[in-house]
Amino acid sequence: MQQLAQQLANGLVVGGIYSLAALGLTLIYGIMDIVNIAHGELFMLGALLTYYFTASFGIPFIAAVALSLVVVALLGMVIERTALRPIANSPMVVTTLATLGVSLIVQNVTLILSGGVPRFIPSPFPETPLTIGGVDLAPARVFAAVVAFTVILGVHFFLRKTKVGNAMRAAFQDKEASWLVGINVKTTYLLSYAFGAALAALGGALLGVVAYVDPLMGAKGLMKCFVVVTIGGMGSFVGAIFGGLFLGVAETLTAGYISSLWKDAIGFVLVILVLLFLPSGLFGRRARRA
Amino acid sequence: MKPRSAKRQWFVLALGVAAVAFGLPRVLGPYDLHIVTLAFINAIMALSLNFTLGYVGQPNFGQAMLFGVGAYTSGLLSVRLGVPFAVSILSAGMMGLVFAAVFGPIVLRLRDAYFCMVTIALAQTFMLVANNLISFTGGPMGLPGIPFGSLFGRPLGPEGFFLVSLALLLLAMLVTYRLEKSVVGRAWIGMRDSETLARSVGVNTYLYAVIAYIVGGFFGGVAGGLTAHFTSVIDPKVFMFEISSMAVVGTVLGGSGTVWGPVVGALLVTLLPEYLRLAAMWRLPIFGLFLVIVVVLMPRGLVPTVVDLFARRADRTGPGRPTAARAPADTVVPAAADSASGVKGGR
Repeated sequence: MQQLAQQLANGLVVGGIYSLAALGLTLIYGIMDIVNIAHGELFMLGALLTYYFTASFGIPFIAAVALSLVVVALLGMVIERTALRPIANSPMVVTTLATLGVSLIVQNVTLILSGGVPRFIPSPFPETPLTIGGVDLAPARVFAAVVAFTVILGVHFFLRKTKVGNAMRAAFQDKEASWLVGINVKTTYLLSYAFGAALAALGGALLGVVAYVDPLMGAKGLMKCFVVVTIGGMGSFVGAIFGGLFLGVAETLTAGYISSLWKDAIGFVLVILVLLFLPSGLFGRRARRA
Repeated sequence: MKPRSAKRQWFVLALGVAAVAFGLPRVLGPYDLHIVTLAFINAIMALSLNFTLGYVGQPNFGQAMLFGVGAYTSGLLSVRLGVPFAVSILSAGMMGLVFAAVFGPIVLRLRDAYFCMVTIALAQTFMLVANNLISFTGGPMGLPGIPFGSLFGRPLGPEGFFLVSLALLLLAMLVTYRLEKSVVGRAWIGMRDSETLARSVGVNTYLYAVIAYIVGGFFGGVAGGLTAHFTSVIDPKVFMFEISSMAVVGTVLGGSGTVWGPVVGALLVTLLPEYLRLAAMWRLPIFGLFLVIVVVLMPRGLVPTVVDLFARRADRTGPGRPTAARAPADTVVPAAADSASGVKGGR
């Protein structure tokens, strides 16, 4: 029982991070109708930049995270302007090709510049675990979970209560109609992509607090996001959150009770099951079949 | 197309093939022959992806799954059982076909975003399985000692392997060409332009998409099997995302949905970095850049764009024939009418 509670707590921490990153993917898909293959690389950049800002430039941890979010969001704007805007409204096969190209560029340039060594972000948190109700949690994990859930709530209010957020939701629902009522769809797309990129980067930075960082972590991050949005339903806000938590818990349980070798496989098994039995995901908003 | 000019085209093509088959091994040194053989194998891989990516128009970014299945089939059969080369390559293709026939009907219930994600995830799952089933696959250490192989009782030298790869590449091109001209090909192009329209006139788009995936599975397996014999050692990296990406880059660069495009693209992608002395680590980012540039500026790819350029020039000088590398949308209707009324093999 004790062990199960411990596993669940660890799973929810990792799951919160997955939710955050997958939220970015699902927003970009819902608003722009683009599968962002480069999402994993933006996730990786968030972690790696946080490492460089803290370890190499000595910037305090929180400021370093904030700074890497800004950098990745700006990079997202550059990507949107150069690679995605010219092909807006193209079939999905075309836009995915463009994001695949971007992902190849970002991943490999990062690999060349920084080398493939795994690194650890210098942690500002104490080592002694906090004991909450018999469950031991490292302060770094508590921090990651608190930030993840706070930001998820923040995103919710941002989408509901701000002008930009409402414009994004309008574009999400109906592109033509939102254009008709005077929403600048181009700017909304630009901001949406930057916003999604920043969410990926924050997910990466938080994962970097509880695990190591390397330029190849992006591919793995992308797979997690794919699994989460497939389980939750692509383009669904609630789906991304519950899909992420579900995957996090399923993975720690697999690692704890079966074998850590198969930890990464459980997500794919879940995806196949969901596709066979619940074809529009747990919270899917549109038919996914042809 | 006039029959006479068509005949002449085939003649020129045969001459070209003969020149390549008998000329290149004599002109090229051993290193260059190695690179060109590799380029041919990559071209087979690009053509195998071309069926779903180019003709059906679905973002298949997981072709490495079928490539890897072929590679492990050839590797395991020849290392563990000592199966002859020809049987090994054929089994690689058949195993690719079988896996495609099992997974195709599942993944093709999905389109666009979901199809893209699931094809990538499947290839990753296969890599994980190859990594973890150590007693069967050799695990992360890989499967060494795959023989170069022999054919007709004689060991295949580098030249023999070159000829085998060329022959299989020609087979892949021929199959692509025949299918493109058949009812199947017109159904593909129809659903690429508008799947809803194709379905509304009675085309069973699901069936045709699965066919594309399965044919691609065969040639993906063949490319994997050839690679296993050619490099003599394989490991779970045959399922890597980079393998799928390289096939995508080659196909799109040359021109997806054509017979020559993927071949030209794969040759360029393999040969150019070799002869420009490009450091290995800079290849992928530069291909990524090419991919973005081609998608944004030249969405049909090199071959159709260049062909059109020449055709337009020819049109200006004399009476030309209409050229359309991509079939216009209205070709959907005859293809659909054929299959709806049960007419077979219309041409």
